Amino acid sequence: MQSEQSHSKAGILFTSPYLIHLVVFFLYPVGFSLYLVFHRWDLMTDPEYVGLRNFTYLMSDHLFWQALTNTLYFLVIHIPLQIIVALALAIVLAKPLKGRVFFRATFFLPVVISGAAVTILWQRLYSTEVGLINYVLSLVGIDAVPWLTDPGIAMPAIAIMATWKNLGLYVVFFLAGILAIPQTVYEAAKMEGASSWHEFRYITLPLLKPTMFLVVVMSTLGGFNLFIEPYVMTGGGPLGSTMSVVLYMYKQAFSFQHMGYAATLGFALALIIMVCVFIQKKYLDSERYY
Amino acid sequence: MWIILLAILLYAEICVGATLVYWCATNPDEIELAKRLVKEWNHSHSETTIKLQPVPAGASSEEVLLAAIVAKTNPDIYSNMLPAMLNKFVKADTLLRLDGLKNFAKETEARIGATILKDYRSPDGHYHQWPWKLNPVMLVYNIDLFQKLNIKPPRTYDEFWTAAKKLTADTDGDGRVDRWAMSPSMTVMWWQRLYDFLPFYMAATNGRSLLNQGRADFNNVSAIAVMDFFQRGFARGYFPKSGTVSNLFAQQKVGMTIVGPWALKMFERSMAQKFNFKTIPIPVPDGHHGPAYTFGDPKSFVVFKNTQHPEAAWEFVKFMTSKKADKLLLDITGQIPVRKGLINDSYYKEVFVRRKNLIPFASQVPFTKPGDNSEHIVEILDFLGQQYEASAVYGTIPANKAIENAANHVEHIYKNW
Repeated sequence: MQSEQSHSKAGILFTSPYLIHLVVFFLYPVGFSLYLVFHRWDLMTDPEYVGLRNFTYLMSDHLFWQALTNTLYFLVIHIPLQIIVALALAIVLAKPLKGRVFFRATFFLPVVISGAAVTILWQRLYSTEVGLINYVLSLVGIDAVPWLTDPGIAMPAIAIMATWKNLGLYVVFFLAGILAIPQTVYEAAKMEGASSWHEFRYITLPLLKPTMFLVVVMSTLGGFNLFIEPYVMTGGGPLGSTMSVVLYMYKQAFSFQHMGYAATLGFALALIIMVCVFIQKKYLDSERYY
Repeated sequence: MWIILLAILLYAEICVGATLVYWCATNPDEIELAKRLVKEWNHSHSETTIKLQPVPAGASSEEVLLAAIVAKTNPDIYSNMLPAMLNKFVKADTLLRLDGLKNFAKETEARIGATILKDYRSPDGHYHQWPWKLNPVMLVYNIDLFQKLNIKPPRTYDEFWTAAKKLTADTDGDGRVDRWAMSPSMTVMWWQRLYDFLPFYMAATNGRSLLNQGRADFNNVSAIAVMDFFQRGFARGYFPKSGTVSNLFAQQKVGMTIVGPWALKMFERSMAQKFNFKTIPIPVPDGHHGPAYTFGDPKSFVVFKNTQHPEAAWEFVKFMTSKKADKLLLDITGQIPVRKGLINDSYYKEVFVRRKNLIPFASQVPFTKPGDNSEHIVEILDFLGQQYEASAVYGTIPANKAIENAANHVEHIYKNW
């Protein structure tokens, strides 16, 4: 009996660092945000109970719907682009290439550089008048492209930049997935006369399904959290075309001090992410792993 | 025992004196000024020590200050308060009422005068700020370029377009325009409207502000004319649609710019090739009568209510805005103190003789307004910025619709928040 009690004490003691972390940095903020959803609070005066008013305001707030549409548009470009480029690079890097280690490290480098620094760098690259990209285009006779000042181009431009920034991480995931596929499977396919395309289509791709699911979910989560790129590069413009949900939430919270409404936006975003991941799980996370 | 301990603590407090934390703005010239004055104060006031710290980094100093108040890490004294933001802090009861302090009326009369002071009154009728500097936003133009192209400095919109047409050109013959009339900001950041729409609106309306007792007061022909002015500039290609953040005026890629006196030193430092420039009032609509008013980008001293030493803080504020300190402000930072009769005061003559380019700014002060004081000003200017972007920059909605939308949104903000 005494031993059980001392075990229980030891258990609590060993788990307490995590429990404290969970309460302070997760349960308390989530609980407080939930409280704010039903209140109006400007940080300085006492919160005022408003019932479901923040929800009804959200439903009719066209700026929120525009921000959500923009974020989904970003995801539609970003996720397929990320998967295609990362998978292609992983396939190349899985082969016994000369300087493979150097290339692996190089592709991973943008992941470890600060997001703000990368964003400022790309802002300069994208500059219409003095940017390097437009300078290179001018050498082949292409007119200057208003990368960040044309409402139709700004979001794809940001998606390209975000893909470049995160590419290395997904290359590593795919590379690990590819290297885990037994060589004997490819050898057997070769003996059956399979072409390279057939190997990719019927061996690599199906066996990478768990990795693919991981990459899609992580890209989706990262994409919904789009913030630093539009915050630094465009401020949400031009014409609100790069205003993401998180940037809008930040503006409501810290520029306008509408903390209750910002908390409501946060919960709405969490709900949308949950629905998206559920759909992805249904279609991608098949139990039939090979 | 406890009584003895308390007595010792009290004695120690009296001996050591008060320590006050003072936050100044982060630009190098203001830090230099603050360091010099704080050093002088600490040297001569052993009973009150000032601890100087520039405002910590953040998206805007207002956001940082707000966060500090919530975390109860705010300073005792702050000198970079935008009066437009003041009401938010007053409503939260975080600022000390200065008109309740010793000699407030006497100090006011000596430095500011009742006429200017009333622009700084809080909606509750009291004073929570001590006006420090007022930097009129004006039009600066490149004299050399204007003389070369035989252009008259513009006073009206018509004259502006004549100048703009001559200035906008492809100077290197590669088929692309590489010099423009002016480069107003394209971004929707709320404070940008303080340097384009607002000064032009004040110039067109003899100093009217955007709000009147919690209602939009700008759904009028003057505001539409101002929005239309910027729309024409972008549509005709006189203003570049560029995301670049470089200083086009210092590079002589634009002939005119809208700035306050703080920018002059910056121009001189960043000029690739030295050129002469001159400052004139903001252009007004054709047929306008009266002086061209402008926005003053004012900054005030405030003392926070949670300070332990309000009287000492007030003494420091008076020291920082004394005649001598104002002269240093003018000289070191090139910014204009809120002081009546500044331009004619012989005490400051020596600075104006040495720094002649400050005279137009100092002369403009009587026709300069601090703008609205509303707890919703950030949101109002943010939405006005969105309408400015849609109408002026991209021309997707007419000027009158943009102004109507912005005015309606003001009602919406007051109703909902």
